[in-house]
Amino acid sequence: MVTLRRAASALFALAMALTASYLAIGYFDSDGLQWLDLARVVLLALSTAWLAWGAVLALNGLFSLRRGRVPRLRGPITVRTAVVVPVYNEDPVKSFSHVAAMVKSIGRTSFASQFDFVILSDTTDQRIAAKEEFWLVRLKTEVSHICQIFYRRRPSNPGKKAGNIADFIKTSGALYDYLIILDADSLMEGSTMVEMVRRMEADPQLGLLQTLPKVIRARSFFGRAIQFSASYYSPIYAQGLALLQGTEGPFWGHNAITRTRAFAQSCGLPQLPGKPPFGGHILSHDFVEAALLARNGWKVRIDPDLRGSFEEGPDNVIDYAKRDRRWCQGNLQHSRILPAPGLKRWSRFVFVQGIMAYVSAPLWALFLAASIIAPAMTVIPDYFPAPGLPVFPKVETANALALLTGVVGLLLGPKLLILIDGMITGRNRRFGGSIRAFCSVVIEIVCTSVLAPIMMLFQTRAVLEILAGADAGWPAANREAGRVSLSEAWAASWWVMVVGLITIGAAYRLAPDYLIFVLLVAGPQVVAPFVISSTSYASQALRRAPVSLFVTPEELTPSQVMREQQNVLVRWRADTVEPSDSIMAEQSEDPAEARTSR
Amino acid sequence: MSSAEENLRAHHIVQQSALPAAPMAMPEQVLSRRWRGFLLRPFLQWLALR
Repeated sequence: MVTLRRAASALFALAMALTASYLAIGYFDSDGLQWLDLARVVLLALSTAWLAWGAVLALNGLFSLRRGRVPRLRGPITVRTAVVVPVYNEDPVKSFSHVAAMVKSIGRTSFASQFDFVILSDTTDQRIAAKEEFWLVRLKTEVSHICQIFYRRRPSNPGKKAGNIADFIKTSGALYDYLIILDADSLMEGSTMVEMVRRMEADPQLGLLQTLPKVIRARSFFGRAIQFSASYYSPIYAQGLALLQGTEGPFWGHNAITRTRAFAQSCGLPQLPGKPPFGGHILSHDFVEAALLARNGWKVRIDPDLRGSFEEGPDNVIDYAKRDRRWCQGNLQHSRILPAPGLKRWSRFVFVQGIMAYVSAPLWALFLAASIIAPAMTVIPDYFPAPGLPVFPKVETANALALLTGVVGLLLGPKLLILIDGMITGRNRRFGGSIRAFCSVVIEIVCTSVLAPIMMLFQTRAVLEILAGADAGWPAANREAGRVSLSEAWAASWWVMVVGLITIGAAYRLAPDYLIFVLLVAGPQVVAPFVISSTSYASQALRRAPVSLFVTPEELTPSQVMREQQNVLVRWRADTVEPSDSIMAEQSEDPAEARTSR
Repeated sequence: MSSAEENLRAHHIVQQSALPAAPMAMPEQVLSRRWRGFLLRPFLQWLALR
């Protein structure tokens, strides 16, 4: 069934690409086919196939029969699970408040004694490391009667996050049947953790079970648009993904549970030969770990029905682009792992998908550039190929319109179908009703249309930098980032504005007939600094509007662990005076002292 | 509790948080395909005979 579904989905994408190519050839041929036109057709076919593949995920999710809630399993839990929280130069009070809330949440189940919480610090900043120890004391004082809490810091961090977890497995893995792997910003309900353990117990071949974390706590316009998008569309796309991948599913690096034995046996990652960005340690280790588990015969599954799993996302375009740069490097690096022996075909295809996610941006950019240049290379038509009446070239406007409608349909169709599905099934009620959901979808589409050309340039630059050998390093996630001032936005995106202006100038000179279409892409690029800065501001106006927008179920009715975490954070910040940075620096001058917990 | 006692208690809590020792092997996985060697083998064998 999975193979049939995969074949049908691939055929759909192929059919869309061929249709787009056919329409494009018809249109480009109206003034004679040039070599540049053929290049445009190839670029368009690749880009359309990629768009169609995204659409087919949504269609699979929408028309699946498994969308209802799966009944929860019951029974005692006798196995031991470590809830692993890797941290790296994060704000300790924030990440430890997440741990406190999760410990309290697991305490509300009957199985708290079966879970240990392990904070694995790779923090390199001595002052933050000292703060981690300070807040560890507070955390343990408050919740260590519920679960055991361990903390260890590595003096250096070879292998980054994957190395951090591998180090824990090598040191203490034999104590635990399962590991729930989280991020510093992850939150998970205790009942969800218990259910994940039960599902692992129910299937001895299941090596890893991934949840679909919902994005929470966004404050800015941009962040809330992403949050709405993740909450409203992602479950449908994830359901489609789950159906297509079967038991060779994804691992997204966090908010997942793995069988310790399977992970240890399959996921010891080597260094790739050569230097970064393509050599060195594997940056996007999660995709590789999923592929290696599948290679060893373990099932890897995503269960989108599992609720109570949360994460936080970037609140502005700059932080989003920084994260994207890291992911881009990680995904392009997978080209080295693509021919690894014994991998399942689907795992290889997943690597190709990950690469395409970023390579599609330069493909679109090239298509746009070729479309601006092409009219200048058109041969002047010969109206009198033979003596007699003139022969006028046929103008294939219908082809162009069909092509445009098709591409826009692939982009917007799935979102509109999800909206209609929400009206029919009543899902929209959880998003404040169909009118709010409709308004949110429309504004989200407008927002995406403005941001997409800007992101296209950021991603194109990232791909070019990586191909030129530039390494992005491993910056800490800036999860509490606030507004981006206009000057900061200008510094980060002035070059986007320049590219946009050059594009408009070129279109005006070379392809004035297409100027209006070019403006749709290059227009947002010209105002990129304003877009980046203005979307980073808190969207109070959106919430106060008569029809408040981007409302998600998690905002309307925050889950218990979310409320608990917020309470803990507010209380800790209010009643605890953190030692000043200078005292922390003094305390952490002695490296041995800073590593007392080892 | 005095500041010194407080510090001692904090130090003790941090020390008590060390990871328990229960090692587990994690073998390094093979990700590179040795296809070059496979293709070159007949040539190398031929060369070795010379």
